Amino acid sequence: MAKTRRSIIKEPITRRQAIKTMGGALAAGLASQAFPTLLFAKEKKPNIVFILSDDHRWDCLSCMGHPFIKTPNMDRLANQGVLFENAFVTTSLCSPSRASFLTGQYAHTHGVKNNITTWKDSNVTLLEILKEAGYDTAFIGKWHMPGHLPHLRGVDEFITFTIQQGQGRYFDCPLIINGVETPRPGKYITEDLTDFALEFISRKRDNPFCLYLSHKAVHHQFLPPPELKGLYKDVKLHLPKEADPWCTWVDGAIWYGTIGKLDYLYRRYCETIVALDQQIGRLVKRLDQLGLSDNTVIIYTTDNGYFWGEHHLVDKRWPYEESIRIPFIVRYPGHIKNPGRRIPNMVLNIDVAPTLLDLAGVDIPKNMEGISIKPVLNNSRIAWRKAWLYEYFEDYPYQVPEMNGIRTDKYKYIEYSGKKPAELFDLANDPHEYHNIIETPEGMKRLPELKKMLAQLKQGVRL
Amino acid sequence: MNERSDYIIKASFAKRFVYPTSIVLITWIASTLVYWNSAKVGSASLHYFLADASGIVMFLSIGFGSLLIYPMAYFRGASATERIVASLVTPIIWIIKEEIRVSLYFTLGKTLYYALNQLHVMVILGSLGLMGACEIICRIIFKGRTGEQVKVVTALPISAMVISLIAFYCSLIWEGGVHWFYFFVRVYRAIFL
Repeated sequence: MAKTRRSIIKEPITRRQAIKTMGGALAAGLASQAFPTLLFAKEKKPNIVFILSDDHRWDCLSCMGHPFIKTPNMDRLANQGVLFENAFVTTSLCSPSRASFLTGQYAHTHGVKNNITTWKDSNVTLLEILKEAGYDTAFIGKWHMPGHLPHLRGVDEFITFTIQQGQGRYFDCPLIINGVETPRPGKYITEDLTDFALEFISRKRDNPFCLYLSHKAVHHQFLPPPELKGLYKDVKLHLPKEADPWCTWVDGAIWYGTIGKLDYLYRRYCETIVALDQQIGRLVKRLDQLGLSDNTVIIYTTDNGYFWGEHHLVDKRWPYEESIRIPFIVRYPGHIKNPGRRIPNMVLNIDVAPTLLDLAGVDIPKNMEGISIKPVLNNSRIAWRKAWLYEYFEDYPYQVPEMNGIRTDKYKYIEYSGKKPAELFDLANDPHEYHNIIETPEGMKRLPELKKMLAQLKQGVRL
Repeated sequence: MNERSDYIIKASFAKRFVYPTSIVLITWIASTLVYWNSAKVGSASLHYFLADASGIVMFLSIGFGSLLIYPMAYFRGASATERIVASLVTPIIWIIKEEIRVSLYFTLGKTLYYALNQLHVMVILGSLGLMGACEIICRIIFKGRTGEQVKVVTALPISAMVISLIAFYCSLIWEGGVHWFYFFVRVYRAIFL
């Protein structure tokens, strides 16, 4: 007869059985300390801290070899995590790029094509999805999408600013804290936003959290706090040979808000980066103090790069490397092999949303066009994208034509609307993109394949 | 100004209009050519110096050329209309040059609308304001040298100066000109989108 539960309980156990049972329980208890995930049906979801700066060039960090900028906190993230050497934005402009980070989609999909076309309330952000998955969420900082300030679904804390069309101010920037306009006299924006971020992550909670910290720094007017002003006033600059003091003013450049000479503004830009780095340091330190670092994914990146005289340009928008290439650092202790590595795989702003969802164990919506980089964190040799689409849409009154382009690991081909001729660059031999090879024998040999790939990318094919 | 005054003799059209205008116009053209070709000199420090200096001359000739033209024309007997037109030649040619440049990027309508941007407006209004100041200074000098009873301060030059200062404040000083810029973009959206 099969033993029933009642009969098993009532049955007396022998000493041998008791010792065996207790020994098994002890072994299980010791094993649970070493391998907790084995004993729990659901892996603990990581906290997420996503830090997005503005206009921070990929090479303006000390860990990228900048001649004088000191960014010890960003460097620490890179040394304890991984730094992607080939990270890019699919549209080099604030609003479209920021929308791409939030939605995992290209500008032509989410609809924020420039700084004029409005954000659609129907766009689904990664915060909304994470909220449904049980996260506490916060969006703190620069929203800067055209149109009215949205009621962001799935966001518990929405702290932002609308002054100056959403660009904000470095000093005394009034904030809109969960819908309430709040003056902030005496505050420096980067520090003020970090204070709110610290408060959010320090709360006692049962759920994991996602902090989306979106800085105004280091956008123009490039204003550092008083204690850092003049930090780099005497350093020797290494500006490109084609740069000159007034490329900030000529040929419509003055519309970028670059009121001043190039070298003066560049020094201020570098000082503003140092201020940003210091605030990142405060955030990382607080995570350490709270004992949250080991279970927190930190990603640091920016919405686009910036020219400082390359091609005689300032600002961004154009498809050259200084504009489209961005710093991209991921730290997730215990989940990244060989921390401190550099990863060469090409990653994009549209990859961030699928990546964070993947790390959180949440299904990635099919309409996200980016790819999760989670597999790359531990194995950069896996099959990965070979090319991607760059696009830019007219943003009046800035004199930059609409364009589509393809970037592979070796070549960049751009087609412009209007009168500007197409360009093709061999990035391996001409990394500064000085020589358009489109009419050379080498260029004509490469062109058909690149045009075919570009057509495929425009149709949504992943290459 | 008393055109029959012995102190000011009406010079030929070339001397009172063409020469003063040409000085500033040629200065602008020459400085522009130097600026855009300064990188060809080969030496980084010389390039920097030439670009810096020629850039300053370029901007001054566009924005402040009237400070030279207006008094020259005044004391060579040019009429008020001639003085104003002569002073506006260089800024207007610069604006036309800019319009041609941006026509590579925009449709005809957007190109024409671009002419109304704050920089163009400021260059014209700024020049008119400087002309107003020059008119008053020239009257003071004329009065001092001839003893003639001339009304130095009148409504037109004062109005020009006041309007110019307001435009300067709104286009460049008030939060770096962003309010004017965003208004310009709002009107663009209303017209073209």
